[in-house]
Amino acid sequence: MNEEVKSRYRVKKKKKTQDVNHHLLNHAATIKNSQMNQMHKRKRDLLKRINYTHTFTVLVMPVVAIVYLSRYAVSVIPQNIATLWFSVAYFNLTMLAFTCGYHKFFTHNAFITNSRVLQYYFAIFGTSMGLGSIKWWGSLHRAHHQFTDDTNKDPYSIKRGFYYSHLGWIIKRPKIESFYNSFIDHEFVKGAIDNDIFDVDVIDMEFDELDTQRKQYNERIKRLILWQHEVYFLLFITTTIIIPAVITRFYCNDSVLNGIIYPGILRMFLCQQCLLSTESICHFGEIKVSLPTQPFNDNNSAINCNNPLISILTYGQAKQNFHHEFPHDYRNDSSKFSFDPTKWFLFTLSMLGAIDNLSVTPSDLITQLRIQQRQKVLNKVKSQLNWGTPISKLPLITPQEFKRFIATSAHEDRIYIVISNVIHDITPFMEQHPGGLPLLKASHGKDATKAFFGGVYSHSTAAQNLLATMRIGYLDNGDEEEVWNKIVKEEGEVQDKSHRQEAYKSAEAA
Amino acid sequence: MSGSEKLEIADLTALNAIAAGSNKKNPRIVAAGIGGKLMGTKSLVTVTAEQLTEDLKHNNSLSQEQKNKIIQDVKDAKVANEVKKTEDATKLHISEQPWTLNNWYKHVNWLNFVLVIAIPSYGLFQAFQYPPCLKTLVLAFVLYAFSGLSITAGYHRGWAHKAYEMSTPVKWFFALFGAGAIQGSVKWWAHGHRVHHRYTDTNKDPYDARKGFMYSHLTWMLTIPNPKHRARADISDLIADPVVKFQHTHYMALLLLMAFIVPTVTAGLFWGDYWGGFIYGGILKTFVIQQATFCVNSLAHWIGKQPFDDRRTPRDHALTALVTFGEGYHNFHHEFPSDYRNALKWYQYDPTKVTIYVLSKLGLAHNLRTFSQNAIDQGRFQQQQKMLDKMRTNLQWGQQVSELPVWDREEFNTRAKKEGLILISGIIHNVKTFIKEHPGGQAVVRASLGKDASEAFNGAVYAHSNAAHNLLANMRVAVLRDSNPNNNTFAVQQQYLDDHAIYKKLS
Repeated sequence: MNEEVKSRYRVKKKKKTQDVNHHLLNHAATIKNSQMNQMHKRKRDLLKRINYTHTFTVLVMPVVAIVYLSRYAVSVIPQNIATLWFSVAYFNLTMLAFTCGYHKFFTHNAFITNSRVLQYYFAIFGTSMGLGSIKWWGSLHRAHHQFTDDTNKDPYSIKRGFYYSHLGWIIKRPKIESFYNSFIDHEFVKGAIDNDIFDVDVIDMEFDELDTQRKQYNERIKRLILWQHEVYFLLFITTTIIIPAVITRFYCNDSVLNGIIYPGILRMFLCQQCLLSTESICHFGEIKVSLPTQPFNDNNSAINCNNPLISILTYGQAKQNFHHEFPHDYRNDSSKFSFDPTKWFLFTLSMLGAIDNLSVTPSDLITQLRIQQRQKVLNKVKSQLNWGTPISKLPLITPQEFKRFIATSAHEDRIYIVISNVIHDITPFMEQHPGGLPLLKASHGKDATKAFFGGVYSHSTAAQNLLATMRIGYLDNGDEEEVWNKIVKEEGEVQDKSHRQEAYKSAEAA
Repeated sequence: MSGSEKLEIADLTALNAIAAGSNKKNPRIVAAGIGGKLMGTKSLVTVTAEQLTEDLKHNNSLSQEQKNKIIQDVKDAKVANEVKKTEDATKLHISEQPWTLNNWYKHVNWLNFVLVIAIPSYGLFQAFQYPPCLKTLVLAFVLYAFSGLSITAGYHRGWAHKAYEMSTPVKWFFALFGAGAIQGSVKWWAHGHRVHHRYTDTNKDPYDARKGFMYSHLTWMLTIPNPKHRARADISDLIADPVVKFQHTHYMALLLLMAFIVPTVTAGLFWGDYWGGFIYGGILKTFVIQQATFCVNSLAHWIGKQPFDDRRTPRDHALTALVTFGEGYHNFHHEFPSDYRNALKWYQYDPTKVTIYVLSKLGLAHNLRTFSQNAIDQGRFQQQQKMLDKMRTNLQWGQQVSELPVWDREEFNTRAKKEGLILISGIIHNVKTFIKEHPGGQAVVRASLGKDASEAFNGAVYAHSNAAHNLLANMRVAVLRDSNPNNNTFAVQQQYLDDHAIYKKLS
């Protein structure tokens, strides 16, 4: 097809005919060329845009290990019992370093610790995930929380597809690299941690000491983060290859290769998948198997996965809707009994006194947000239901008119009943009336207010709702004030509710 | 306007007469044979429409005050009883007298005692002596399922609520196997059930759930009820039904046939287990069905959720549904009685609904009635809104701007550093106790003391979450004069964020 077009184009060019097609084809060729150029450019860019370090840690290493295992038909589970136990223990050790350290401590400031041992444990063993340094991962994670679902600024926005948010983001460099570079610098180099932007001149004496302490602490943490960023790859090799290999060789009496593969690479692969699925599965509401709910906020894609299997898969971080609303809370769920090793570990540490200022959201705040979200859902439900014509929009009918109306032959088989001065056409419902048709027939054309509200049967709310959907008019007794009062009562309620709706709309917007 | 032009008001007495069916030739509601003593009491249904109207004037709604009043009345009556014990003992009806060693046997409905307690006890005793054989157990289970479904699909949803129209063969099936459940004839049962629905949670309710679990389960049936609490419901449609009429007149014979003779003879003729058929297929099967049906009156008003209305006792629970062939979604049922379904969701257990649906597909049932989804959703919405409002009142939401005092700028400046005040969106907040808990660090808050931190709060430093707005609202102290305060801090923040797209410079 291409050749055909080109040859036709050439032939026509030689003949130099002033055909209309000439212009069109010319134009088409230009577009095609530019498209080809763009494709070439994209290909070139793609190679440039691959993040080779992370491709190596997330893709190449696990693939090589798995290919090796399948090639030599070795089991995925270590044969040596000691290696197996070490792998499991090392998995938990490194995973906790990442979730408690990288995530809760460095990124969300969920607690303060003065213990150097803990700080270095977090910084060193967190690298064994192969997901980057604190400076890099932490600031991207902050960007994720700040710009959740923003296609450009959220580094792992679910809007760019499931696979992108799972793996794509870590393999490709971000499109707007300059934005992220400045963001990363802002977050950990000059920004939030030290508060130079405020002039600290209005401070009571009692706070002064605390303030300098806090400043020193922040300075220390900052230096740690910058140091860790510099020696990241060295730490990664140490924690992922050297430490497992050495321990497996000398303490588990297994081969060095098994040490590199099982507690080293395969463990790292498992950790990576656990953490990456938090940002993919727990933001992807379309997977109904995970039993997704959004009890706190449904404006972003973060969902609470109620499937316990997802909880185990994500190492207790399945309740992302909670986490996105209360990021600095050290827990991942408001429930006491949820599976959350991070929470247990941090709670134990705080009991031991190793960490301070463990951030817990007051339960009232959680309930408030829950209420606001449920109200929002309810308002949506309410607006979709038929609540009957409001009294203000009903036609006014005098008793004489009403009598004449029901006397006409066209309305012989129909039933009209007046309740609270509102005229209702019961005909569509008469066969379904649980109390029977005779009662309705006996009340035809009459005021049955008392009978409806308890004289014969005290009707349920459901019955009152059904009745409201059958309104056709308002009986004009000449008492305008009464009509007005009723309208005010009804619309007043409506106004009240719409006012509340507005409040929630803005809450939703915020 | 003259009086003649006004609309005629529906006559309550006439309507009550229709609802009670007493405008027609007086139909005997009580079961045939034993002088009206079988499971029902004659005195309970001989009541005129005038009396019903009069009664309802005193007892037509169920506010908490009225409930308390009823309880108080009962207490008073007890005290009064003790005083008058000797004098009025002869005048008071037996149900109003206290239980004593002299009159306890008068309280008990002995016929029901035999049918509901004595015979099943004998059956249980025999079952321990006589281990069952598998075939008999299967027969008992089949009969249990048939009789159970006859009660739920036939007696209950078919006749009492007219939720659908049965074809004649189905009617015969339900009437026969329903008689085997020993729960009275259709006529008596449906009447009692209609009364229960009309007077739920009042004294006229035959199995009033407010009087406790055991009362609504068994005691109501074993004791003589108070004829003061009499009530009637219209059952003219049932009387017109020839199947119901036949079953009612020959009830005792059908009962013996279906409950005892059929299982005994079947088991005996086919595999020689006469005694086993009688014990397991007859007595124990009947016992299980009776208890299951009683569970609807007791358990379904006792455990579970109330998704549609919590003003009355009925509740929804899967356990009750499991025991009662799907009658466990009772809150829904009391709200929408003539719906042929009890469970709405596909995963909820309601074999009765499935049976009726299959019958309708086979052409054996017609006109299946359902309430509109709109009405069902409305009911659920109103109840949820009610629960939400209740939750909301338990929480602190901060004062409204209109309720706050107004301060001058000077007053704010002098008190700010001492008391730890911050101005956000024109509202003054006391953050002294919160400084240490601030997730973003103390320094940020302390640096803002005595200043307008609106921009910092709304996004210049950090765009705070809804939760933070809620928390802030609890710290309100006053409003600053001429500062244009806005109660809706959520909107203020959105406005700010829209105006200053932050991190624009960074990108």
